[in-house]
Amino acid sequence: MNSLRLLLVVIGLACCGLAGATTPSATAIVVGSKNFTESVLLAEMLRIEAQRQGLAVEHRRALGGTAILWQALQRRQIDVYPEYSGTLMQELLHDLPPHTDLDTLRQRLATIGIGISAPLGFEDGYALAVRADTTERAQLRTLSDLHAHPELRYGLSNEFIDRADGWPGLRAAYALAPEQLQGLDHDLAYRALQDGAVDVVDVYTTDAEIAAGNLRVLEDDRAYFPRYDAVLLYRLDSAARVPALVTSIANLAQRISADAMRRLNGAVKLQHRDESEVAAEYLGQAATTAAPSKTVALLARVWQRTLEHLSLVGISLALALAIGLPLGIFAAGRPAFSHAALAVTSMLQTVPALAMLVFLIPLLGIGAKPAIAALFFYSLLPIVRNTIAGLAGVDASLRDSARALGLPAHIRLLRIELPLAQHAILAGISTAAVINVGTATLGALIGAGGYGQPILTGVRLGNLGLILEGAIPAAVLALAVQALFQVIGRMPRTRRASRT
Amino acid sequence: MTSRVPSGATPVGFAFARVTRRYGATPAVDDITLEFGAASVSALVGSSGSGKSTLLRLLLGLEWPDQGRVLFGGSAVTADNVARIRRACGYVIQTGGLFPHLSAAANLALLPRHLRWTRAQIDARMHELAALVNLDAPMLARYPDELSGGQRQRVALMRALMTDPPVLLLDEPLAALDPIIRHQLQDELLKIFAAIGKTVIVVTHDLAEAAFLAPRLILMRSGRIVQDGSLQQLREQPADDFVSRFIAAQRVLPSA
Repeated sequence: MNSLRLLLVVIGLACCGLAGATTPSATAIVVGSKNFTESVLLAEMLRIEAQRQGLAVEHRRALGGTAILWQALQRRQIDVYPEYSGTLMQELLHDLPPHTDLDTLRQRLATIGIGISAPLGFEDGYALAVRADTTERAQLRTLSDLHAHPELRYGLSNEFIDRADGWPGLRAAYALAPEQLQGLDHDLAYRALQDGAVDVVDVYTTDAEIAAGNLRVLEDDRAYFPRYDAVLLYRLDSAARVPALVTSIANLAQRISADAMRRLNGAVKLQHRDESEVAAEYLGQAATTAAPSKTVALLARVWQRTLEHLSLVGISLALALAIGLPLGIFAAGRPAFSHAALAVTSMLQTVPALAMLVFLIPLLGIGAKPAIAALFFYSLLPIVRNTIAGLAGVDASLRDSARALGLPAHIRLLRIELPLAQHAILAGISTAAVINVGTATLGALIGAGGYGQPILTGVRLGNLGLILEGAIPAAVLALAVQALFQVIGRMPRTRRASRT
Repeated sequence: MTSRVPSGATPVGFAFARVTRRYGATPAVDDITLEFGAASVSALVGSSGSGKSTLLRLLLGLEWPDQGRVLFGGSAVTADNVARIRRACGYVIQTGGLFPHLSAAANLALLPRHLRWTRAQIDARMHELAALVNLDAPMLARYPDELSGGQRQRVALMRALMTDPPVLLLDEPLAALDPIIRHQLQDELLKIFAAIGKTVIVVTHDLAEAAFLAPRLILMRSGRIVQDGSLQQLREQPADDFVSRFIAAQRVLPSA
């Protein structure tokens, strides 16, 4: 057996094992949350409330941005998630004016099968904030004052920069023209502001960092930002199927004030307390997840994520082999086709991972499937390219000897040409695998789990330990994959095939 | 499907009828007509680029004529029958053409196994041929890069003879070997040709080797046949000045 075949068998077995290991559990309701603390807290409260109603609830935490959650709700991947009224009008339902009232909103949403809860009791609007020393130096009080200070460096969250109700409108409303504007992750922006790397950041008005960091929120003197009342969006069919969901949602109405929310956010982000614990405490409930001993929990978590990560990488790689190898074999010796195949796979390679995930959600929903599909697309180029190059590199005299023996084409391919090309092909597969291990961390943005989960949470909470909990195993796995391929490459038969 | 070891296959002849093969504008083989009788042994001689290897490749369907026809046992070589014709020809090239990822034995077993010979049949034939080409049986377990140049060519010759094809085509089989091994293998080849009774073509640029191995010499230049005859005919009635110069170019050792 040559090593290429051995590798295929190993990957195949790994996929079967992993597919068997992840069996879905019976869950009545799936709650989603966006990738920031407040959203996770609100979803956690709903989970606790629904559990109190006797429902089996799963909370898919910190899935990503608005687009991903909205898509997931429409695709029935989740039943309910926390949203803000302003976001609905500005970002999701473009045909509504910015100050639409809740009843109109409810009627409009009902036409697409979505329900909206009563306000949860607080508003979390967008605002711009600066350090206290900046307000003194530049005489800043309102957003209008910013116009006179184009030298200030803006560090805005990527979502804010792109949103219709974010930067584009704000810049027009206040005629702002900053000399420097950078897109940053929201949670990193606070750090950049404190470190003096930027001067102006966008904030949510319930962010705990505003008070803790002695920041000044600039007044929206031209009333540009719409209201962002916190609400829950849910699927009407889920509510009909599970009436207790409606009760749980109603129980949260007007339950949380802006001050309370700021305090809860602070408990998680500044005091590093557990989200479930903070949410449960606020609702007057005991935390429902008993915390096992810390080391065991850590090992169990890392193991679970390793399985998730391996299944993302393994399944996508197996699919890429199943498609990429035949494609490469077919393309070898057909210059026009191989140019086309390489052009398409190269183009796929250039699509940014986040964009790729957002494109894939309408087709595949959220979770592992779109992540696997994205990784599959990224794996194609190295595999196809190296298969073509490997086969083209087979010594012409050996190719002719095989033909002159009178062996049919498929035997020549399997017994002679592929084994002789396997060094190049293995190198391509190895490249794809190592890249996949890294890229798969982004799968956490759409609920695919894996090592990206603690990295994202760690970034969100400013928790270095959590970041390392994902980053170290990811690095180790990348090295292990690399080492595995080196061992395969050193197997005697493989080495011999490279010496033609 | 053949599932017995063939022995003593009936020799077959073949012919080239006004065959031309061009690479771009340059003809590698230029309007050649030649006939090779069954069980004949011939040598194609000429300098490199004269078109002699191309003739073998045309016969094997590794290349196709731009004009003319290649006839094998009376029928034209086409895409439909090329697989059968290839199996009817043993082919050895200068570097042996052994597959480096397979042991000598696995190289030998490649085609027989595809033809569903049994393990015992393959082993029997392998040992028969090892005796014919003077190769120690333990060498068969080795990989090509563990064999000497002479051993490699012996294995390549065995591979060409495994299924006992009626035709043997040797393209510069000894060119890469040192003089002693080469001399030894020339002696052995001569015996083998006599023993197997096949239609043989040897391609070589060495006139002495050609004359030693084959009674019929076909001297080629720029894709054309300059002269076709015995060494004596070439010597005594050279077709043109080139033939004389080619013969004169063979160096003999200076006397002491």
